Amino acid sequence: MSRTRRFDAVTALVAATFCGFLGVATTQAAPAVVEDFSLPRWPDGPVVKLSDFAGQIVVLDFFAYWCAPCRLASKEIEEGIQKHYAAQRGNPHGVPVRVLSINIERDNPAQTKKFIRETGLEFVLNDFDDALLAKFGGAATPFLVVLDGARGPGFRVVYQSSGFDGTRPLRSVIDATQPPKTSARRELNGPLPTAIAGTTTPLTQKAEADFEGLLSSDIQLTGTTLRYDWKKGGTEWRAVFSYNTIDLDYKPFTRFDVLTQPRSIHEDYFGGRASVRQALGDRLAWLGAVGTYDGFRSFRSVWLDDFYRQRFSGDPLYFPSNPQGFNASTGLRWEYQPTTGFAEANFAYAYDQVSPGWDLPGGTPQNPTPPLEHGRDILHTYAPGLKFENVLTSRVRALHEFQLAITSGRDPRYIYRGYVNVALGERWTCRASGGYTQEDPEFEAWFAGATLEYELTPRWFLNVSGRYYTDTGEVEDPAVPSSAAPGLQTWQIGGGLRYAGGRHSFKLYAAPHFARYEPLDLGTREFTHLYRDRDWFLLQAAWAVEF
Amino acid sequence: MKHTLIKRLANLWTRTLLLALAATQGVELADAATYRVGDIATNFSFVARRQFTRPDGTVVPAGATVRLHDLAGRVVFFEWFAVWCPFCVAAAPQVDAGITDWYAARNGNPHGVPVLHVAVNQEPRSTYRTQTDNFINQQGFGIVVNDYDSTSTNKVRFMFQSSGQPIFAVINCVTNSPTHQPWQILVNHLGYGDTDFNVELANFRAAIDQVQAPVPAPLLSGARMVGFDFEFTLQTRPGRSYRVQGSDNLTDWTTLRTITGSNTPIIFRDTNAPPARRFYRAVTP
Repeated sequence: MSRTRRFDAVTALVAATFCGFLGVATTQAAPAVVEDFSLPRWPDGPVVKLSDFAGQIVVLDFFAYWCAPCRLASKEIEEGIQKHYAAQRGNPHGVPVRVLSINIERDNPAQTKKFIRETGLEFVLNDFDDALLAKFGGAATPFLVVLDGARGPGFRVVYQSSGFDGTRPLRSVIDATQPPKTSARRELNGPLPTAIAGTTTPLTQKAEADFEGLLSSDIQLTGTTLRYDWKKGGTEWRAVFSYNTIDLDYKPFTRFDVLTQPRSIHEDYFGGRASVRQALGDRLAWLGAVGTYDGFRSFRSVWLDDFYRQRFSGDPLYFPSNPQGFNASTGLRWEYQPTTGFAEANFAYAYDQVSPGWDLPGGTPQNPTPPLEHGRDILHTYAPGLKFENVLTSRVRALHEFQLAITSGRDPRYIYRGYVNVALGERWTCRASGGYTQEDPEFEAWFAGATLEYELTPRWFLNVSGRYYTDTGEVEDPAVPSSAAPGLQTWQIGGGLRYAGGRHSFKLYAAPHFARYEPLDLGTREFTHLYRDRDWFLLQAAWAVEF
Repeated sequence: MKHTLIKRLANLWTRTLLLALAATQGVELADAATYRVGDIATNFSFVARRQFTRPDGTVVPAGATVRLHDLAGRVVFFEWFAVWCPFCVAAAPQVDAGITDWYAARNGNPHGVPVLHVAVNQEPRSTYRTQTDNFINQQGFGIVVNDYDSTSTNKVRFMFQSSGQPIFAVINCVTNSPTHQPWQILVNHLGYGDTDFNVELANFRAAIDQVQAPVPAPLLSGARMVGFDFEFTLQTRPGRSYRVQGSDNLTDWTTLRTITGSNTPIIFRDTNAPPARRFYRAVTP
């Protein structure tokens, strides 16, 4: 029975746990008084001091002209914060709000000028040596800080974020900032009361729908995913529901097989998953997830299930399969460098009831007619993993994942995956990924992929992306018919469109996808029509809304 | 996790113990002896799966016992199969083309020895009966026998191989061949092979083609005295070697000359014939 595919599902599960929390990091910074600073006004104007804005709420928006997400962030902040509160003459408690846009790029002032013009920035300061950015622990842009000067003297950090999540969280913090009542004056030099910090915490919710179709001449696969995220304070919940369909035309390889007949098969798959992330203090978060599913997880297992069912269902020892399973994972995420360095340790367990392979042994003189045999139909997988996410420079982010997976009756599998995001220039972003997997006795797999994205407008993005995968296939035993897949190569190159608005976002991606197998061993010849080279068409669409 | 690790270690330890135990009793682990090429097969028996007509015209009804010696006079190619065995399924049409049709088109092997194909079904379970019959019809097998009787147990198969299928066996059933002993095993092959089964089939044919037909006895005629010499005519097969022998008592024979056969009659003259009686004979080889 398949080793590769079974594993893929487990990997996917673990990967899902990891990827689920690759979002933007937001921290509740300790409300210490910020040291006063002074920066020159752009392009070479007078020096401006923070204390010039005493008594106000100051929003710092660090940007660089080549930072694609900054373009959207700066524009929205200028309109949704600076102009919004200016029109209202301050926040609901009458505290004035001032956005200071801070340019960190010394070179190409013409480009910066263009950026400022296009985003409409009103008040720009220069921080060429990233000194101020570093002071707040930031390394990558966009980087946002909200300073509360209403309860002066001095300013306190009430919000900071690496990345831009919309103006909503900023407004929640700004709207909740009040000038002190006279009776509370004595608390001014102490820490902020927790009750106030609590009320400033914004609630964000996000719903997302994904659709994916993978179509070939004899096999059609679809996957639909509905996701709901709920985030308040230090707690994040995520619920995911998946529905997949598999349609395939089963065809026997008649030269080796006279027991099975052609057939059209349809299978449904349902999956559900819930995960939570709970902050434990400033730097630590606990991760937990549980999931369950019912149905075949790959067209390969559907094909093989029908193959064995047709061959052996007349045998009194045969039993039909009922693929289903559940899984659980837990982990810790540690922000070991504020907003730039994260480490995550994770442990996952999966229970899978699978469709086993069947075999009728030929017998020996001692046992001339042995009964029908089957492979493992219950699998336990234990998968510990480590992950490191780092903001290397203001233009480069990297993520490394190391994982070990131990599945019943098999050798341990070692997995590495790496991802790098690079801001290439004013409007270009590159996301590259690569990975390696190894399992004894002889399985190895590699993949590499890259996406190049071009910012058409601050909200519209065009991308091209390609991916290549190859593996060595499973070890074959020529003496026994084996359903293990031979070596495989797949590649795809496609293009897509992405829209990232304030609340809504969607994307569309289409790519031809090619799968090529190595020649089949004698022991796998029966599966000629399963391990057939196929040309697929991949279509992905996703839509998300925040509220 | 930990639990599994302990179980694995225990498992490993048990295996090591078992291996050590097995090593001390190596004899018991060895496979039961199976036929090798050159061995003489016993007069084993199958059961006719369906009716067929023997080359001598005898009709063998379904269910009748078919013994090896019933197939005398031919080189017999046995092919064991099970319908669920992919390699048996793949081999069948190739055997049909490379053995059955091959020799039918050539009236036997190069020495004119007829070659008979016998398909042997090894799967006794009733679950597979219909599928087996369909397969037999689809392949157009001629003689089909079962390697089991009411006991549902394969017997002959395990004389050739201790496990596995398909098995291909070739037996010389020509009782008076000059090259091979009666019931001598020429081929005993397991499996479809790793590369090209047609290569295996060519090897099988090479073995089959070595079996020569029985040679008719040389005919002696035209005996007469020519002066003091005694002379007679031999009719021989071309190319064969004959020894002409003489004896005074029909018990002790002396080779007088070795001659090579020819299409034309050969005249033998004994220039040293004794005055008393002498008996003559020619033997081959």
